[in-house]
Amino acid sequence: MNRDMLTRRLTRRGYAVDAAGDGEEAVSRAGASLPDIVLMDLNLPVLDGFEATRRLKSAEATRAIPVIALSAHAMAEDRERALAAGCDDFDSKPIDLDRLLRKIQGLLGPKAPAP
Amino acid sequence: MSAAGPISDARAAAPASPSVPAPAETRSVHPIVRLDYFVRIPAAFVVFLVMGSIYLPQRRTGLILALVVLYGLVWPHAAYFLAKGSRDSKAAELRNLLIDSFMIGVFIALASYSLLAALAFLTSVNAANLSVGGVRFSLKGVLALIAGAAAASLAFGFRVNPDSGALTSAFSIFAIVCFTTIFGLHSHLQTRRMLRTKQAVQEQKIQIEEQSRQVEQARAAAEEAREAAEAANRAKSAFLANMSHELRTPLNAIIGYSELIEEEIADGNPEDLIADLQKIRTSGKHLLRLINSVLDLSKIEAGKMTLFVETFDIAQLVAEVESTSAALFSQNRNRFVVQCDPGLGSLKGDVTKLKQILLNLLSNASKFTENGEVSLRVSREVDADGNGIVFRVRDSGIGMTPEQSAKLFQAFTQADAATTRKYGGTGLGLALSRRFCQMMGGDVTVESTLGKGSVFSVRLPTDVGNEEGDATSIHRVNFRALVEEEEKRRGALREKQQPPQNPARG
Repeated sequence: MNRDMLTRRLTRRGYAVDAAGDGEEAVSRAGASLPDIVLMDLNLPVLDGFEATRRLKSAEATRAIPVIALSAHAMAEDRERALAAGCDDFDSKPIDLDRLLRKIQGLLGPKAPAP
Repeated sequence: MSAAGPISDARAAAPASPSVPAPAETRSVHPIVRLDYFVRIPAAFVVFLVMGSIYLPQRRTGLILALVVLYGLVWPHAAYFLAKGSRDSKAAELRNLLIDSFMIGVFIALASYSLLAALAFLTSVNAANLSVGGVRFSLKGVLALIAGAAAASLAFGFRVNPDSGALTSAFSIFAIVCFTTIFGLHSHLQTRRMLRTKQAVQEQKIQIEEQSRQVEQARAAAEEAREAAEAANRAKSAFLANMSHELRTPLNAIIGYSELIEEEIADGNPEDLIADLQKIRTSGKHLLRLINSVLDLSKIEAGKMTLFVETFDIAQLVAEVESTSAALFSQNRNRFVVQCDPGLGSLKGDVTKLKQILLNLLSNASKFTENGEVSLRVSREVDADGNGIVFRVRDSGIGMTPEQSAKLFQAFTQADAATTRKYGGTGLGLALSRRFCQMMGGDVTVESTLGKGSVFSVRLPTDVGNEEGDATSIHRVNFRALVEEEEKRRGALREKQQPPQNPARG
């Protein structure tokens, strides 16, 4: 339900959101639609967020897409693990939307919808 | 003379320790000196007897008799004081023994080499020399003895008469017996002392070994305590990290949906308001359950969870559980079967906790089973632990792998992430159920086959929580179990990200 909530909140701010239910689906959808940015939950079924990020970052087509990790694990070591897996940034839950948007805009630059 | 060697050695060595005061030296006389003194007095007397028996009947050679009397009465004391006054009493005593040997040589010659007398003298002086100075010294003694005999032969004439009179023979034999007895006894006593010392050393060695074993044990105990403390500390940290995660997940939904609804209402076109509010409420309730469970766990951990022990009717409890849980089964279209052995009687325990345990198991069973059957079977059974009541909750649901079963009772652990997404739950229910059960002296166990279903067995002894002392010891066991489980879980954490426990995620 958090996926649904985040999808709606980002859509309201002018983003086109394509959501996936598990890590494997996320990798195949990202490969097909080549989004501008990926928000990766680290605790995903089938294939977890760490492995999904590794796959995105090792594939030629998706390597350049920035990935922001999202996790309810908020310890410093969780952030480090995420960055080590190839994530470009990390945000912890509960999500502070303004903070997340700043991170998205920081990675997207002019491509981001106007706030 | 060869005997001069050790004497001059001793004198040469003496100035090396000039700081040692003289009185201390006289006091620290070598034990050999005193021993020889007490041997020399009777020895000289025996010499006097033997020589007297030869010369007194002859009524001549007053010089020789004077020599014998002098040797018998004066020499032992003179020898003692000479040695005592010397800086090196042992060396002085050795010199005295050489004088003895020389004098014995003289007496042997004067006794005309009488066989028995010579034998008596030689035996005694040789035994003394050997025991005090060793083999080389005894050879020196023999040389001194030969010198003495030669000197006496030169001075008084060389006469040989191996025979001896009856009195001389008797005294000689007496002398031999005396000396062999003295030295034999001395040797015996020394051997005994040595054995006692050896035994004492052995005992000390055993004592030291025992002490070092105790020290090692204490060190090992301290190390174990340190490791346990560290494990408990790590367990606390891991528990807090998990708690943080568990609280953040529902809070994410509550905060996110609240903000979303707020935005939508501000825009004037709220969509799906009721569904979103329900999600907030579900997350809030989940949070409350989580906090209550964590509080229960921490109460158990701190040994502050108390049982309200009472005697209750088992059939009545089952009936209550059956009516409370009936609603659970309609959701997944499951059949619920209750089977009670006749004459179950009553049980002593915390009926509220037991109801909580059974409802938790039944709720799990119905959650993981669709269009199947859930059964509760209660029976009175006897096993290794004695008489007990067993509550079996069996389902025909999805079941688990042995790996999943193994970590099922650990806090914040569910079968896997997918299970949590699909079925929800706090991940604390089974951990709590097991601990409540253990507090009542029983346990919860699981048997499961993937795809076939699971059986959870709650076993309680028929006389639960009789004594206060028992309850306390159970608390302690539980605390240790918690630490161990947290420790194991921490190990698992390192390998793989923990499954989230978001109930309404999917």
